Amino acid sequence: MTTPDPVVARWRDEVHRALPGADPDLVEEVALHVAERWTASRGEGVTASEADRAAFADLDVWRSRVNARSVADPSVWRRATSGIALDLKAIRRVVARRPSATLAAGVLVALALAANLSAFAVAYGVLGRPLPYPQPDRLVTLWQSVRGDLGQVSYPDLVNLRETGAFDASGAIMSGFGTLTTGSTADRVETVYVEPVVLTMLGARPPVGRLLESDDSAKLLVMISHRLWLSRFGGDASAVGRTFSLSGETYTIVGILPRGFNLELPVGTAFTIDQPDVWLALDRTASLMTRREASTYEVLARLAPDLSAGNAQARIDARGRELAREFASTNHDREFRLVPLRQQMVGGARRPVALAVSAAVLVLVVALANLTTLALARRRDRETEQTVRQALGASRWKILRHWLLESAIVTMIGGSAGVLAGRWLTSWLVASRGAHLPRVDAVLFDAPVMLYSLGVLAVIGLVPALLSTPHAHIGSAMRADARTIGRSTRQSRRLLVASEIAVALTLSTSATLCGLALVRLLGVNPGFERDRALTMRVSANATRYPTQEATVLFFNSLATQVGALPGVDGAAVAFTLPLSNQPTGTDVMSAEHPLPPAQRLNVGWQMASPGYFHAVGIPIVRGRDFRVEDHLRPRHSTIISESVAQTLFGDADPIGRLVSVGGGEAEGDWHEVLGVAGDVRHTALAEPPTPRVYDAFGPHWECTMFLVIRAQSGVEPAALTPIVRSTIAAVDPTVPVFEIATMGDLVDRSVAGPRFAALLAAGLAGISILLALVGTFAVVACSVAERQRELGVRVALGATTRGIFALILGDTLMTALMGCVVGGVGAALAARILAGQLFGVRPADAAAFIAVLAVALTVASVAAAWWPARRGASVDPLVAIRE
Amino acid sequence: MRTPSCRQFALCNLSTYTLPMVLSPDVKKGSAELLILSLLEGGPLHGYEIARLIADRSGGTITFTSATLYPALHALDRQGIIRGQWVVKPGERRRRYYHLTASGRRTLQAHRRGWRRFIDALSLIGLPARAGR
Repeated sequence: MTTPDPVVARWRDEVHRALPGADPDLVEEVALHVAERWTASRGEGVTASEADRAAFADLDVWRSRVNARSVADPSVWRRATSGIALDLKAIRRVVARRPSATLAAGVLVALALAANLSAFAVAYGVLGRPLPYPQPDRLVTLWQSVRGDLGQVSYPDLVNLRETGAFDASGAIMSGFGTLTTGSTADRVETVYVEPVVLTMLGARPPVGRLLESDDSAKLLVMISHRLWLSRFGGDASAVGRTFSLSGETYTIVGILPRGFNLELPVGTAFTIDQPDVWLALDRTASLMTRREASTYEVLARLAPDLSAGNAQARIDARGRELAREFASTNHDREFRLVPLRQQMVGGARRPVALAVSAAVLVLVVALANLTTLALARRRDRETEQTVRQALGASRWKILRHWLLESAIVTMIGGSAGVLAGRWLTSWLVASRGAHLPRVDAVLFDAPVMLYSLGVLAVIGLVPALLSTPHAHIGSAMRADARTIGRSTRQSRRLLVASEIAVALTLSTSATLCGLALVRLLGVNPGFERDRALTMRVSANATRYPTQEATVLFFNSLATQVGALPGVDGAAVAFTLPLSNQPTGTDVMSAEHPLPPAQRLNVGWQMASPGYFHAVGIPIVRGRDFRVEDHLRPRHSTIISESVAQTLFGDADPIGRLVSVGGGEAEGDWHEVLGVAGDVRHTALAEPPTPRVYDAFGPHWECTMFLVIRAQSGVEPAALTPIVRSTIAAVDPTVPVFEIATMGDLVDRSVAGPRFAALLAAGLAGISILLALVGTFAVVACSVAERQRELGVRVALGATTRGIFALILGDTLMTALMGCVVGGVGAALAARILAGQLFGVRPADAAAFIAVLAVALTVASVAAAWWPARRGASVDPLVAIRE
Repeated sequence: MRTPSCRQFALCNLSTYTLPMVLSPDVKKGSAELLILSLLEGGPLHGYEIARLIADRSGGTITFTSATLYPALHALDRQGIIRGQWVVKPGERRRRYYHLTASGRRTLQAHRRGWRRFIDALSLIGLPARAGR
């Protein structure tokens, strides 16, 4: 215990007054300090008043600081941002000095953001966004299941299933197409007949007019989509009450559906409702409504309140079993399935979208690893500068701020490019036919997508910056000196690069195989000329052409007039076209070898007018084409394909022989073979040619036919479109013309899936190659920066510049080779899997590609390491060792 | 080694606390830390002793007021670089002694290294290097 010290006590009071509210320890220390100094001064013979003055002067410094702080204390923001201009200047110098590293980082940011932005936009739009209907999770679709095959439901079954009480509401839907005519414009539109409760379930609120009602059944009243309202009626409110012709009947518009209102019901690729434009009330008087055998309706239902989907399914199952007993002739193998509407709409997209998201996350993780390595390389490079700054007193915040700012600038530049690339990628994905994405209207760049992008950018900006920031404390920063970077860290970085090269080799081989498959697919002979014809569908209006004669006359006259146009080398009509996805089939047998129906040859079937084979470019290998006067012949005329001729008649000449088409012989309808046409790949380029029978248009007829126009040599088929359209309009302005495409377009559409796969694979391969190269660059740059001292010692001990260069590149080469070996195995495995699924590709095809790509990747990796290796080789031993 | 910016050069050339208005706060802080830690490397000292030793050893060129010294000591204490402890010795006033922690020793090494590089850089440009290397 010390005795009370009056000097200390005096100054303690003074310090209390100078530092009101200060920490007691601080007050005590300052009081002791002043007292010591006062006592020492007195001991040196200074007078009491002078010693007091010196002590008060010391305390005045405290007072002035306290006052200055209370009056002009810079705000936290100001303190945090002071000197930021100097930081920005320094960053500009760094960027100018090392543009390649900055560019590499920017590219990584752009890639990672573009991949994640588009993957999230699609995933959230298609899978995540709630359906735009009330109580979307209670909405289900009802399907009939026969031995596992889902199909539509008959109306009497629906009525019986309603009795279970499983549904709060339910309505039948039937889709179709119609020809909409307003004034002189005719268009083909998608129509949908619904029980009006469907519109209520979907929450439709018409901006103009009213909803369809139960009383509208069998009346000629319609609602139209907002899209059609704008395009055909200019968004005019007076459209309600107006009439238009739909497939020959006159309908009155009672209401407009709200903007964006839609119903999509994809079911595999079999049937679908997609973007209907005309909505009509289901006709309850139609005979289909009472026929239990006619399973023709899609059904939308809302589950009863408080009833789970499982319980509802159980009730449906029980009733289904009763119906199977009660109506055994129609229902003995029928079951009924409830499928949530969301699953029905987007279930098929789950797997591809999940794959896309996984790929994007993988790109993000690898990009982060590369960015961190790049940042570490930068940090090693500038360690001296940072150490001096810290020793000279720069605060932790200022050091951190410098790194964050640098990272933020690269992130913003790369991020801007990434947003643009991501938007482009998303638009491409959405528009791509090969992607088959549902709900593309819901793929938007709105707040959630932008927030996600900002989050990804924050991660991209912060994680590498924080992981590479010189350690929070100067002491530990020095501990993390280059000399202490362990072998394991370097090995794991090499492993990262080797893995990236392996993935790049696997993906680039896969992409090359996809490309090869596409090239081979496009190289097959389809059996017709792909670049000479323009095609379009024309629908003869049933009211204007009510009879067979009128319809046939219309189409023949159309073909003649169009065929006579300048630039046209012939025109014809046909019921279907190769690769037009309109399958029709029948069976055929020769009169000489009668067979029971089950043993007859199944063939594709269609009708065609004279000139069809010439127009499409299918060769007639024997006999002749149809002629207009053929209808005068006593028998129906038929042209068969080569494979049909071979199967039915072997090597014998089939011309003039009789065949039965579709069991017509029962009515004495034998067809005479007029000619043999070349085989055609009708369904898909990847599938072998199918046997085919062509009947003459005339005896067989339809209201909607393809018009095929062959362009003269040197004339672009698509360029004929305007003149052909105006000619059709001159013949009859009320007929709709739709699905205009060249034969080349049909070929392109038929390879949309393989092309999409090839482009996607190429995109992924490109990204993986870029990641691998930037990764190599980053790791070598980092390694060179870390090994400055070692390299300096080597040079000091006599190593030449060339030797150092070779040492660094040798390391890179070994890493690349390691990646290529692993990637080669992965690529070979991928090739085995892909060979079974790609057209015309065998596993052996991959060997040459793997070798070439491995060499290319190795060379590219060494090239990526070249620049940092040069820097390493030019190290000054004195500087390096001193560092 | 890169040339320091003109601003840094101008500020650091004035290696004295007698012209506080033109010294960068960062440099003041950094050099104060170096001085304090260097002194504590020799053993625990109390605040007044530190101030006196700095003034004595710099021949009066560098003087610390209590308003400069104690905030710096407390900041270093908070960072774990030094530790302060009240000690009562027989016949003496109760005093708070400071000693270097392990982290403080590393920090001192780092500071010395940083300053050495800085002075080397200045020497390369034209200042005669007085402190021997």
